[in-house]
Amino acid sequence: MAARLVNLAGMFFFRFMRSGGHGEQVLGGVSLQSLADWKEGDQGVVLDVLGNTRLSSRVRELGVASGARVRVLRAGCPTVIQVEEGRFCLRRADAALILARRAV
Amino acid sequence: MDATVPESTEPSVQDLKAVALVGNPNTGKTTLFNGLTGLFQRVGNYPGVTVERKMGRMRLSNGASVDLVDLPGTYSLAAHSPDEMIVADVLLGQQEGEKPIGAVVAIVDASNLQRHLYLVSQVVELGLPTVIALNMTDIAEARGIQVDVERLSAQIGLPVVPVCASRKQGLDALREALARAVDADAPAQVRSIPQFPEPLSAAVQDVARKVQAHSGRSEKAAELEAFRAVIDEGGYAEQRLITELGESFASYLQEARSRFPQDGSLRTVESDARYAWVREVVLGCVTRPDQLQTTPSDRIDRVLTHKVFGTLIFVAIMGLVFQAIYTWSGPLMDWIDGVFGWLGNWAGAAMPEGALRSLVVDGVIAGAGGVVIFLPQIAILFLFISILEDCGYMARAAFLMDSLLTRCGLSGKSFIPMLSSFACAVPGIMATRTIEDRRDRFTTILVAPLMSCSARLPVYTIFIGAFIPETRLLGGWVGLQGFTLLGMYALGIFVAIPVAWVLKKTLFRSEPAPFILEFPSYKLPDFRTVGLRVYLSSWAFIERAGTIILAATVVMWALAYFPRPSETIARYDAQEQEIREMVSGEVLEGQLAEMEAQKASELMEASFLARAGHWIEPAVRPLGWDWRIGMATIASFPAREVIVATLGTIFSLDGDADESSGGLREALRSATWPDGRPLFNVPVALSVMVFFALCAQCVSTLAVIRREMGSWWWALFTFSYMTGLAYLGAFVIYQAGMALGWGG
Repeated sequence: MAARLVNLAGMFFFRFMRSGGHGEQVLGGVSLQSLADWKEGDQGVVLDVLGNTRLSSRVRELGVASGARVRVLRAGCPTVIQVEEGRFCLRRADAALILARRAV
Repeated sequence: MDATVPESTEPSVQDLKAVALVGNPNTGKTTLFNGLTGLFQRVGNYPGVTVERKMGRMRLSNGASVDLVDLPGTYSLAAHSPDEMIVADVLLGQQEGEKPIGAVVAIVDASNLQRHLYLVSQVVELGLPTVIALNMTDIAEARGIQVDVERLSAQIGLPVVPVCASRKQGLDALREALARAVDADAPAQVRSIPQFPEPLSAAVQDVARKVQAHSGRSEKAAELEAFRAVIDEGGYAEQRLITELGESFASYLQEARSRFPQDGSLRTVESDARYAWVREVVLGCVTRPDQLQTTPSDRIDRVLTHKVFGTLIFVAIMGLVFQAIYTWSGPLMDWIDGVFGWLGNWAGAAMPEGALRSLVVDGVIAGAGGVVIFLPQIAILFLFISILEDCGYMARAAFLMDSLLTRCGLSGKSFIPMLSSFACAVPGIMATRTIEDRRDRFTTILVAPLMSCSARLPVYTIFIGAFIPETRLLGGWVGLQGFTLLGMYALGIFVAIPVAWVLKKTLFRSEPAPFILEFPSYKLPDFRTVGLRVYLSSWAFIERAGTIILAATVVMWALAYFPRPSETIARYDAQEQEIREMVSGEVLEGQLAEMEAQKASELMEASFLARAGHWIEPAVRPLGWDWRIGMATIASFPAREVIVATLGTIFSLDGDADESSGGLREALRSATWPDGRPLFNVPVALSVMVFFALCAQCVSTLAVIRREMGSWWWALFTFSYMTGLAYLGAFVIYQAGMALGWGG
């Protein structure tokens, strides 16, 4: 239940940022962002993968699930990310679907 | 196209049980498969799809053998195309031509266990006896990750065998565990399977009942396909069931989905439930460092995926590959050329003169030689591709090329097929199988033949050598000849860009396909895997290209050989008689040879092919060509390089002129129009080269396009658009060259 609430909060901030907002929201030492906004070397924990498409399923199959540790190895397009011990690249627009809490 | 490697001849081949090997890509699955089966493997294709079917014989610890089926690497059983459905279909025993699967070996990577168990969570639902092969425990340990194998095995309820596929460790334990799983009356049962929320499982049950009632599927198959149809909206399971059960099923499916309240989160439900199951079975089994680790691979990637350094290294590697393809292959190609030349002479001497000898020497041996000669280049190309792929670099190359290819509407995945096409479009087109998106795949197939393959090289070599002056440019650093060769290679690439762009805007209109590609850890290539792949690819090339080109060459030989008017032959026979009576010795030899050449030339001019050449002459005149060039072009329809042999025959040389032959060069330089003007000049030579750079004169490419795209229509389309472009290109370069005064 708590996880769902965090997810919902995450989605809210995600929408907020997409609709013209910028920067990040800092709440009690953590900031909610999509991976597309992270810099190289940033790491944190996955909260949710948005979307109901083939791509978002593939991202989940690759281990991007809430609770997984994530790090951006190369920002830009395509973005390279590390999720636990797996590394893969995806386009920046698709990385925006991955919502995560960045350790500050 | 089965490349068959010696098989043991056991009597009970039909009765062997089938075991499926499943796992994520880059898990060491192929290495494990090779380790378990050795050379006893067969490669083929599943009917109707483009997935490679790999099977091998594997001996278990109790002496029994099983057929091990190597399924394509996959992250999930969810399918969006017939190709992706293969894994589920084989596991469910509903793949045409495949035996029911008796047991499963699921290979997982110990260093990233949770993610790999996602696929296992789907496999355990099938209820088949399953053994888990825990690979790369050594790498995991080096990264500070430890897996408690016994506890994991107890919590899943299945045997878990640690293996190291690359060092062949643990294979005996795996054979033993598998023997028990295959033979046991009551095989080990998984302790639990993923649990889905009630509304979803109820909906799936309803759909499954409907599927089972209206098709001959087993209960398990119906359940799995129903599950996939409900979850993967627009996926392949849904499409296939609608095709089979009719439109009413579509509305039934919609109704079932609508009962599930949280619209849009259907897929989240699946991954949530599966990862919950995974967390349950690995609980307390995995110890790992608190922080994400930076591995040696990551350090290498800091350089190799760097926008500047990475790109420079990429260019250097590609340069090395091309250099190797063209220089290392030289001696081998000369050797093959020599062998076929010797074979031709031997057969020519052993057989009486006549149509049969000409068929064997000029048709069969010359035709087969013309194909086999490219084998060294193909083998070297595959050697590099296999090494780069096996060590993990290819994913990085695709990453570097993605932004460039996105501009033509494609993705980084199109890079490897394009690269392969520089050696030969046939393996290039086959390499498009890794592109999941159908429209991207078809676009890549259609532009791949524009890359200058090795068969164009003889054409470029001879025309550049004969007509492009050896001028040095840029202070002597660059030769005009080398520059022209480079230009021919660049031409294919620069034409492919707008063609791909147009295709993606029209016939294959879609957004650039999602590009998501795993970066495997770098490792030393496994030379067994690389060697086997080079061997199988080379063999497939010989079989496929050899049969088609050979058949086409024989047809072209017949068209160039017949009808042989009897009055011409009688006239030359009389002339021969006359010469023999008048002169003798060396003079006789010389005069006879001259007469033979004239005779061959005249017979050629009377052939069906020459008639066709005269018929199309008006069409090729704007390109600066005469009927002989037109005819040689028609004759090279089976394969571009045939033009060299045909030009040799037409310009009265003996049949075995090749690109290094100074004789052919001289003959081309001295060829004239009927009014005495030289036939060839720089614009004409360029026009021939541009035509051959862009045309689709290659029967094996067209055949492989038909097979991969499923219709002759596409082969015809490729031929038409490329011939159109080739004609246009040749026309433009000839007219422009003449206008600029290059004609001399």
